[in-house]
Amino acid sequence: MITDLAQILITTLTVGSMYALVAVGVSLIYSATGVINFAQGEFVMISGMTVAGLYGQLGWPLAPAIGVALVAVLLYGALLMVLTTGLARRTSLIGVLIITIGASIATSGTAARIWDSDTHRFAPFSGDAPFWVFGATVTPQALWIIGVSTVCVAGLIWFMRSTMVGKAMRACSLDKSAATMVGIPVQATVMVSFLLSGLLGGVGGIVTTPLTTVDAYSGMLLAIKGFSAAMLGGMGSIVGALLGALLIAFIETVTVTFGSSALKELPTFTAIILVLLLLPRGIVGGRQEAGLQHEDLTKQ
Amino acid sequence: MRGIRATAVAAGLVAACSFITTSHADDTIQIGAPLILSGPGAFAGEASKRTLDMLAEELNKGGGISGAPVEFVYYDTEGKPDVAVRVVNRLVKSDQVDAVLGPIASWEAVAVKQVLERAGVPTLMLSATRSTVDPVSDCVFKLPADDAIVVARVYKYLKENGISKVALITTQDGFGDGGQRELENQAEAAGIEIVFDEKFSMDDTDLAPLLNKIKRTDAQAVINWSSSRAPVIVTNTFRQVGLDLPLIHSHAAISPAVLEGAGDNSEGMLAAGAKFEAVNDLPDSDPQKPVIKAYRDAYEASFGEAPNQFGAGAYDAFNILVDALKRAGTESEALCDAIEQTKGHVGLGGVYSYSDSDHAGLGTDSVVIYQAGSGQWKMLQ
Repeated sequence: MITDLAQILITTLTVGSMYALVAVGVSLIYSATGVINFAQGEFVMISGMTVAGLYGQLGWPLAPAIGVALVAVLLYGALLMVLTTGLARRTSLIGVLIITIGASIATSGTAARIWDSDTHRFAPFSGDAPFWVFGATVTPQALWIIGVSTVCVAGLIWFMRSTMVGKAMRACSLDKSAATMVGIPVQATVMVSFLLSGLLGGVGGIVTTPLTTVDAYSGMLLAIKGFSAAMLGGMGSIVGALLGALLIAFIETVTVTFGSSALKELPTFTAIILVLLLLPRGIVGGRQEAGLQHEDLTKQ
Repeated sequence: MRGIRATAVAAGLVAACSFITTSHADDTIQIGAPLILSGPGAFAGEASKRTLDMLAEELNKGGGISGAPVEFVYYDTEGKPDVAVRVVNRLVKSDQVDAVLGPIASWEAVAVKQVLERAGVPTLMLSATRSTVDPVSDCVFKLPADDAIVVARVYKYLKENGISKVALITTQDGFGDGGQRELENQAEAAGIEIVFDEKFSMDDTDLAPLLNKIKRTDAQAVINWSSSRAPVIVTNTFRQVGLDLPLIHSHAAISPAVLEGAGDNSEGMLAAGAKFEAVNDLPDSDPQKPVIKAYRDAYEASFGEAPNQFGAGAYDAFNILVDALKRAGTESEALCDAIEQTKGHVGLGGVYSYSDSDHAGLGTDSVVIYQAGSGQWKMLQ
């Protein structure tokens, strides 16, 4: 029993951290632009594939491979930002949301051409040998995932609360026109939010690939998990996205441990529906009325 | 305006018709190949297409089939059943091909089976699922080893090694479902007791909770029926949770990518599949050895990389079809009968013998057990 509990805890933290890196990114872009970015998982895929290619296959040292991967996700983030904000002026937010789905599919297809459609992985940072805590298996890479995610999310929260740029981003997400009037460059803060989201996803790809493997098509699924987690926690809130991710991971793990792996999605999505019925703004309440802002989604 | 448009349409129709008739006017033998050429399974379709092009070129250079050249009509099924149905309809109705090779994915094959049956086009399926030829229909045949014979071979191996209690983990998709069905159906007759039987999904990232549950059973071996990246994650987690049991994969795991992904963790794991990957371990007396070797060398010489089992399936299909065409010509019914009369055809996937009750063609003797060691699949003898 104690083994089960320990294993549930460690698996929840590991899987929850993976989901959180995507969910926080989704939430960040949403709060800056009102766009749900379904291409968020592509950041993870691009960085995972890049490191797997350079470090895993070509034998580069790890550090420059990570550097190239991060540059790649930053460029991709900037490209997405130009695409979505450029089009946002001409189409509705729903239109932009669909464009992000299109971008995700196009990115997978392109990645399959650049690399291939095989599964890739590279060696874990500190070896493969697991150790046991109360009989539960802990791999060193799981600790890397949990540690790096914690640092990233904590760093992001500090950035948003304590730096001038972070405060400007929060101001923009609350009221764009007022922010413009006091001289905050709105476009620049939007760009920063896309770059930060890209970095989070990129870091996610680097730490999780040794455990989960990556292929050209693995991005969309992560984006859906991240979206669910962000929605559950309260769209637009970083802490909410984190809580949502951990909650989804917890429910999944408990279901697999005491029930069946085949039924995993059932309690998860039941929980999401229940939470959103009872707390339409998600666990932490988001910042405005119901879950997604209805008027934003229909506004031209 | 309307008149002009109608004329244009009519002209187009005439043009289309004349195109169809001219394309059939010469005696080219047209073979439809609905293959998965984009998406995650594109590597399978690509290897098949390369193989077919290579074989067709060689055949046509030597004069084709009694003077008639062979021509392939390729369509991309994108790995999607609905697209597969659409392109197969086009092959049958507008291209009016003489025969069809493909599709590759099980879920596509199941979807297009009815269309092909109704049209009565001689078809050689490149997919592994047995349900396309069970029940048998007049003109549909299949090539690669299927779950039924692979499961039978795995159970035989387990009994020989004194293992009677197994744990099953299978994925929630067409491949995993088919494997699970066969594993359950054949267990009793083979004297195997299934003590654990659970499904997981291809996108599960952490399988430790699932595999930990197996520790609490008295299973003597674990059978994993999954494809794509799932065998990699299963193998890695299997070692990490410290399960100390034989791990047996399906034929889908016999690829270099799985070994690369699992690294040192792959050491000692088992899998069952066709002899195609074991060319160096086969005894010289094996009739398949020279065939496999010749194909591997030709493919590597042309494309600079090793072929995979999907290209091998296309190779066998092509040769069986050409052989039947030589004997019977392109008339559908005669051609189907000729394919059915194929006996003892030595191919890459095994020795094929079709009959009116068996359109799968292979027996358990075409499947061997592999073991992974130092980053390579070796045939166990």
